[in-house]
Amino acid sequence: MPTIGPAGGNVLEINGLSIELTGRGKTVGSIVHDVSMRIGHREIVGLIGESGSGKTIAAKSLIGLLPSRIRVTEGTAMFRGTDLFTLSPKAIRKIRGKDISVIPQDALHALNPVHRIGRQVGEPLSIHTDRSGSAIRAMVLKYLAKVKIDNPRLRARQYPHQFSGGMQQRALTAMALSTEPSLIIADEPTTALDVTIQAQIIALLKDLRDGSEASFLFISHDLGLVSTLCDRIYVMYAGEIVESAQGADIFSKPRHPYTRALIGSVPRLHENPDTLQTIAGQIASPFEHDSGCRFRARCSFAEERCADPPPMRNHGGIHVSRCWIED
Amino acid sequence: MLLSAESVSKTFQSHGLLGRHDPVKALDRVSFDLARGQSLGVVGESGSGKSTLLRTILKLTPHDSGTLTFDGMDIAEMRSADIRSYRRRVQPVFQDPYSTFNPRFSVGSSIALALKINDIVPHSQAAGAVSELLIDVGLNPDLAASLPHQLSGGQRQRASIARALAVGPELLLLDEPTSALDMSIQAQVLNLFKTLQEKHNFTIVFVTHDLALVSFMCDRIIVMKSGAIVEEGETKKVIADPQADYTRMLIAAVPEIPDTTTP
Repeated sequence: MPTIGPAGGNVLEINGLSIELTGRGKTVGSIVHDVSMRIGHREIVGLIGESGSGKTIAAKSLIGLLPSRIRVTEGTAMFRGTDLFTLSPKAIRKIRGKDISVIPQDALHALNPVHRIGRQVGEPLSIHTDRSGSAIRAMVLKYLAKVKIDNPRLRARQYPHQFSGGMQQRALTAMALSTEPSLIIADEPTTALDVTIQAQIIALLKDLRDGSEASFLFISHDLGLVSTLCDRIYVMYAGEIVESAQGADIFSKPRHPYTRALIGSVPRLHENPDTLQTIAGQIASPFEHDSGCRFRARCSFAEERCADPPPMRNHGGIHVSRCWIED
Repeated sequence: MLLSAESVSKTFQSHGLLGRHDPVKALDRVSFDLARGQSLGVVGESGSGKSTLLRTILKLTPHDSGTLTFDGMDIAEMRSADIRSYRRRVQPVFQDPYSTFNPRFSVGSSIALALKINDIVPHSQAAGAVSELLIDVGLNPDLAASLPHQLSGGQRQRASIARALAVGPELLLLDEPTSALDMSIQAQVLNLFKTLQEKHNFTIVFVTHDLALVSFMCDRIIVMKSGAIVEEGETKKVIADPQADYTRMLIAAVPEIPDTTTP
């Protein structure tokens, strides 16, 4: 893969990441296979895929939060000069929530109902820095204001149930920003929200990208959202990156049959065909993969050679896809 | 008209720990007409009253004032025999198909139960009827023996559509039926609703917060805000030329995928 990085260099570089499910000491299933990604300084990188494609597991592996029995078996993740996969649990704890922070999907469950918002937003700071209580309180107010929560002084004293869904998501974003991380992983941060609130959060993320030093990994299944927000996009299917390109190119010139079918399956606001394009069948389970193309059972262009490992093809610039078929 | 609402209102009085809260107007003089065979999209954010509207049509929540007529009958005036037939003629399909099925019954026996309660087919022919229904919604009839948790999300939603169709409904009430599904599966289910509607000619009320779904599925649309209809009309016209500020805001909030140029 060509590595044309943005000016500031890469914040994160994942190379050949494979994650497997193990049982009784043996590998029983492949969850993520040979994934390489990079995230540049102040970039918003999108990772799209359907449920079960392995996008959340891949993200969790970076911060040492894989469930037991699920292990990184191959690959490196270089973050500011260190390979995250070689770090001890103690060492990764110092990075998680400080240098790499997460905006989770379900805001209500991510907040503790019995503690005030201000205390929760300040928690990463009190764990990772030795600032005084009053310094932390000042920082909390600063970041609540930064995510456009009105009257932060009052809001910091309130409890999560006094916040609407959109406001809770803002508070969690403030929490993620407060330690000035170099990378923020946003895992479907707007799926639980109404469309208008979702639009506000997306506008906020764009503002934050422009006004901070952080890079974002934005995980989503929503093609529309990813297209409006992300500089570069990776498409994941059954644990593999099948295509990646500059944001606009994925939609204007999709190459991989999966990407094309996915784009055709989404109903549009203005012009719609009589029937939507569909992808027959469903995603294969991690126990069924062989070395061939993982999409071939559902692919309408599948040929005999698709049973062999498909090559990564370059389509100019940074646009690549993992497929045998040339147009 | 198959379904007509005339100035239907519903106010909820809520009681908190510290006494009475302000009453919530969940439905505020809602009026619309829905002709047989048409599909109507109901759009709005959470709290707009769209779910209350569905519950009122289902006769699960009684409305305070106004009239709701189904095939010429006022649904508030229905007697027990009428209610029984009404509950057969109007069928809901919910967002979470998992809650539709008894987790301990096989999918086939849940569907057969609907057939039996409504005397649709004699007991001896139930199994055959279940197979036909499953084929109708694009499922393998062998899945009748499966328990709900053994099916995938998409299969489960198809099965719940089969259960709703079992009793030959005239009106299908769809409450966010695809929001728990993946995009590729959502497309399959939306296409299925369209083909089934052509085949069985039922009427659809489709409740969703996603305007793009309505644009694909529905002839007409009503946009709700705080319990009231703020805009109503032909879907294409409303989306191309929205009149209400709220509709404009909803449309602007939908992230659109850029167009594809075939390489």
